[in-house]
This record gives sequence, C-alpha cells and structure tokens, in this order.
Amino acid sequence: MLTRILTTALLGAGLLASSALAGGHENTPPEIKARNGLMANYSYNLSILGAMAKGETEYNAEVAAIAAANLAAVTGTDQSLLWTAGTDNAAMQGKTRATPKIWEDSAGFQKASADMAAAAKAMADVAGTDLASLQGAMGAVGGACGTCHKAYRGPKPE
Amino acid sequence: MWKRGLLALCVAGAGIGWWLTAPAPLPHATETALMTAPQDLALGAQVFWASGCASCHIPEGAEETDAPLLAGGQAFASEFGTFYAPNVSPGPEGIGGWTLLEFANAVQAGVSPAGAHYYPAFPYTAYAQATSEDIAALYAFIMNLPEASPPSRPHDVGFPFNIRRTLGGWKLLFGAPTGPEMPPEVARGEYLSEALAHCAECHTPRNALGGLDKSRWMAGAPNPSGKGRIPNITPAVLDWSEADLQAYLTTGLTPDYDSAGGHMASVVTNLARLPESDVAAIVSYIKALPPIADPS
Repeated sequence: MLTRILTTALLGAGLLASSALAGGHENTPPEIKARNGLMANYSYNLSILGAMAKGETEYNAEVAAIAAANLAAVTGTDQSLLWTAGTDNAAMQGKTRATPKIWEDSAGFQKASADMAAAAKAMADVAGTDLASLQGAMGAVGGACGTCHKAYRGPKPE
Repeated sequence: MWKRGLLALCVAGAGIGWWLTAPAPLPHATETALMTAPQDLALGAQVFWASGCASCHIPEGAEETDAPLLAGGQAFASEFGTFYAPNVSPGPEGIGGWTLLEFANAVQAGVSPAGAHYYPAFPYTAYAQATSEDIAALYAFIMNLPEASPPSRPHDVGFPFNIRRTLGGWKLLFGAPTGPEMPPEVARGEYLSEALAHCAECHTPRNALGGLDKSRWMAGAPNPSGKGRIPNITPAVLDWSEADLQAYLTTGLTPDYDSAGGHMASVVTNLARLPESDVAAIVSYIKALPPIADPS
C-alpha cells in the first residue's frame, strides 16, 4: 500500500515539475511566497485526483480520500493574513498575478474563496467512495478555481 | 472637360462604394429555412451555451445561471476602441419585439433591425455558418430569458471606425472567414468550434484591419486588451492528450493543475454544460488542426 501511495505521490510531483512558480524569488515578499506555496499545494493534491479522474493512474480510494481531504483542509484555512496591502500585480510587477481587484472587491474575493473551500469539502466527502463520484466532483472544484482566477488573477508576465 | 470626367468618375465611384457597403440582409433561402425551423427550446439552450452568448452579455461579475440576465455592459478593449456588450435580453431595452428574421439578420449578417452594420466584436461572421435550425432554436431560448432594464451603453470608438458604413467594406474583405479543410470525421467539432464557440475569434491572429489571418488559424494571437497572449492551440505547440483537453474544457484544469483564467474560464463554464460527446467532438477538432509553429 505504502509503495502505491508513494508512486502516486511521485507521479503527482512529476506532473507538477513543469509548473514553475511565476516570477523570481529574490526580494519576493513572504506573503507572495506563501500564496504561491498555497497554490502549489492545491495544485499538487489536484494533480493526484485529476490523474485518477482522467484514467492516467488507477483509482485508489485511500489515496483519493487523503488528497481530497488535504485540499479541503488547505482551502479551508483563514487566508486573510496573506493579502496585505501593496502586494498586487501593479505594485509588484512580475512577482505576482494577484490583481488590485482582490482588495477593491474583498467581499467578492472572500466569497470566491469560500466557494472554493465548499467545492473541495464536497469532493472530500465523496472522493473515497468510487471513481465516478470523484470524477463528478472535479468539475465544481475546477470551476471554483476558474471563477477566482477569471476575476482576480492577471495575465502571465511576458 | 477632363475635370468633368474625373468628377463623374468620383461620383460613380462613391455611388458604387455606397452600394457595396450597404448592409445586406440574409438571402431569401435562409429566411425560408428559418421560418420553417421548429424553434426547439432544449436545442436552443445547447446552442446558447455552445455559442457563449452569456459570457459577453451578462453584466461584469454576474453569474451564468441557467436563465442568465443578458443586461450587457461588459467592456471589450481593442486597438479600434472599447466596445460595450449591449443589453440583448427580451425586454424593451434589449431585443424585445424582434422577429426571428430580425434576430437572425443581427446574429448572422451583423445587420440591426434599423439596417445598420454591427461591429465585428460581435462574432456574427462565425455565427453566419450556423444552421437555421440552431438559430431559430437560439431565438426561442433567448426570448424566454428574463428581461433586463439597463439601456445599452454606446461604444467608445474613434474616427474613422465610428462611421458604421465603413464596416460594409470590412465585411466585403473579411466577412466570411473559413478555417482550414478538415477531415470529415471531425465535422461536428468543426461546426461547434467554428460556427458556435467561435474559438478563432481569439486564437487566430488578425491583420491591421482586424480581419482574421487564415494562414495562422488557431496559432495564437496577442490579447486584444493589450495584456498577455492567447495561446497557439494547434498540435505544433499544444501537445496535450485528448483526456487532458477533455478535462480542461470541462473543469478548466490544465495538465499542470493550474486553471483557466480570463475569458477562457467563461468558455469552460459554457462547455461544461454541453453533452460529453460535443466536448469530445471539439477535442477531436483541436487535435486535427493543421500544426502551425510559433514564429521563431
């Protein structure tokens, strides 16, 4: 069992190897590093779940349950301390893609964040049941990522 | 004498130009096909989501519910000026009272009921390729959506583009863009991608006058807002598997488990409402696109 979990984890790491974080790390404020780390953690757990949902790795109820529970736990943390003023993509060009709209529309941003946590929680409730349940939950989780990115993330630095 | 001749030539030229740039309605055969189409509401919903109508016509930040409020108002920046999506809800400020033929002329010929050209920020050159059955069904679906009250905001477009008659010339030059010859087995995906989802509007680059560069079909383009690039989705660059593409178009998650943002996030929201087989058809179309490398 442990080997299988490790194999899946390694596969996930491989999938993520190409998705480097945006911007350089020198002089990057710790909030931005923490935010990027948080996103990398979401992404890592999603890579394990997504590979199973796509049929790239075999469905494993135990691993799926752990990854989904982790995603739900991490998305459910209070992230208010990460969004300090002046850490948007206008003030910190090339270091972050967070748009000033996060601060201008903080109610909307908090709702998008809460919706993400709710979608992850819903997935955690069913991810260990069977493959079809996991597949069924992926759309809402991906949709929640997209809703927030559409409204509050700027384009990649060129 | 020669002066009079030149003057006559200019007058004649202007007359021909005026005639050539006149807004032309749909041909009679299309009108007949529209009038005899069944106006199926369930089909209309599918056409509506495949065509992405709500993504542009709902207010900024509004949700794409099952029965969205098409109040308009979103701004679309371009090098020609800023266009504001109009209210196209079935109320008095929108398209209330429009006949099916008026609707079809707007959507497929880019001509308003008053006989003026629309700007091609509205992708009528793509919708022109849609079947009359789909357009009639779309009309029925939109006419059943809730009415919205905000009046449409005028576009903010400078001279000479503010003279709508110039669009007659634009239509003559670029009004019927066609994609590359595709294998018959991807016909459904070709129809969904080119006539309804209008992928090429963003993924194909444009020339100086805003016409699609057909030699670089889906090979990526600068974002018209001026920030960022819209990616090349031909197989020369996009090497995602069919499962990757299917997952991306329904969840927005990339093979790196990043997610779609910008307008593509709306596209995913729309496509997630389509039957799985239709998304698979779009995937097979993308995989079959002629590969075009990025310029080195």
